[in-house]
Amino acid sequence: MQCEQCQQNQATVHVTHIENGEKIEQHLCENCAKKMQTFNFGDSNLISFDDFFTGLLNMATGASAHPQSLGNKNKSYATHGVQCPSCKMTYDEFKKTGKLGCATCYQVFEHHLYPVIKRIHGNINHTGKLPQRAATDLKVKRKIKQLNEELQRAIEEEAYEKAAQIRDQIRALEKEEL
Amino acid sequence: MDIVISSRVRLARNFKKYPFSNRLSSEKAYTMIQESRDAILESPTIMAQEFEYIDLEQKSSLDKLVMMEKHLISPELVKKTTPTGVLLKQDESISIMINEEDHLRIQGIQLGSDIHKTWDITSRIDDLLEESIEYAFHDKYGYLTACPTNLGTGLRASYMLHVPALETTGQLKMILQAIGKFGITIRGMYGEGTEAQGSLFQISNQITLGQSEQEIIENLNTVTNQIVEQEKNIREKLLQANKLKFEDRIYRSYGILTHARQLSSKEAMSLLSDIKVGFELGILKTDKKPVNIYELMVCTQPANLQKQIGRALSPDERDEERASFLRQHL
Repeated sequence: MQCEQCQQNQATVHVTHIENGEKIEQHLCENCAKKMQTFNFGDSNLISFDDFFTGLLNMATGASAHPQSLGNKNKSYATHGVQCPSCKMTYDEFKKTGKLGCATCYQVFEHHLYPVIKRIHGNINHTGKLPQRAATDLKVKRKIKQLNEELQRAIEEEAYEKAAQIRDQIRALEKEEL
Repeated sequence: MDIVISSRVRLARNFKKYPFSNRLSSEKAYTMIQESRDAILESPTIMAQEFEYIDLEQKSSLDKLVMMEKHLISPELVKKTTPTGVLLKQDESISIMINEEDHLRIQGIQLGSDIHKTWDITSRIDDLLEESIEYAFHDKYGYLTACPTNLGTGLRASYMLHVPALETTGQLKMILQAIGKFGITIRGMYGEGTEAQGSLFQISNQITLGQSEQEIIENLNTVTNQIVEQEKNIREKLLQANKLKFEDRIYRSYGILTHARQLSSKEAMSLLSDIKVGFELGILKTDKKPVNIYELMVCTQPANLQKQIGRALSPDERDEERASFLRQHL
């Protein structure tokens, strides 16, 4: 299949996106596909937030917006047709708006989102407040971690009776976790 | 010196059972809003009586702007055309924006620099909401938000700072570069993408995931204290280097504010900023009871001014009314 854009190269990138409820398929060569993803300066000569965000996302997932690295084959485009079963959002839509559609999106696009989240926050493990009712496992894990630290301190202080109590608490919690 | 004007804490939260706001049908949005209202207003707490619900769809754009100028709602919420509402505590210290970018944006705001207190109050409201709402939460990513930039704690802690000395000497630009490394950012008066007027800036955390709420707040405090110290130092230095010039500028600003017949919002903000410094350094003194300059700044914003006059005003009329208002209050 030939590239729709340049009509020269072999089309290796197949992009599906939904626009106004209509499914649009595009068959492009790698060069033209990358060009579509680069910053769009438009008439006003300004970078829109959406374009800028898209650029960042591409960088985060390894698909560089720079044409120099075209030789570096990247398969991430192939999965761009994936749709969230819950809210019907596609990854392409997310890239345009920078917003996900629902909680399930985080699972569906996890593979893509992980590097993005890492780039934004530098860290990917939540250590803050926990909801009262969800995250019971996490609460137990944190409690065990905290008790382990206390255990260590008790041993250093040679408070063995206290250490034994803490050890029993940890064992009880570990059982609960299983 | 009131370099720190106010402290703000904002938590982004979403219902587990509904798609995020950008994917939510109007019908479901109304249900979600109703459930959020009930979570507070029908709760068996004293707090329930202290809140009122405001249906933003029923409000004029002027009323919405008045709330925005008081930082009770965000510019984004004003712009939204989908069903939106806000649960507001009577003393305006808590506002829960409903169906903004996230289903819930719980905001606590207090004058002064006690952000720990602001956090405590906001977190308690969060707990109260959670008694009836199951939040979208992920073991690794924490509280899930529509935009990944708010993931984790969903917390944006911020101070509004008045830093004219840092701004006029160009030091602020340098600071801006340095604090980026600490995951802290400085924005305009109403947050992202807004202009700074009257040397008022918002400083807030950029990173929301991987740090606890306490760490985020401590980090912000460290950076803010540093900025406040620098502002004080530079004010002292400027005053020492050329006292006459310094005093002249403040008295000129005072003169214009107390005698002008027309003042644009921007000019008024800049002049008020000058005399705020003047009062704080004891250069200006007034026989009247102490004036709260920040309050005057809010009162003379376009929407708040029109609200007080009680009718829509053309830009020229606004400038006239603003000048008259300031003459009365200074």
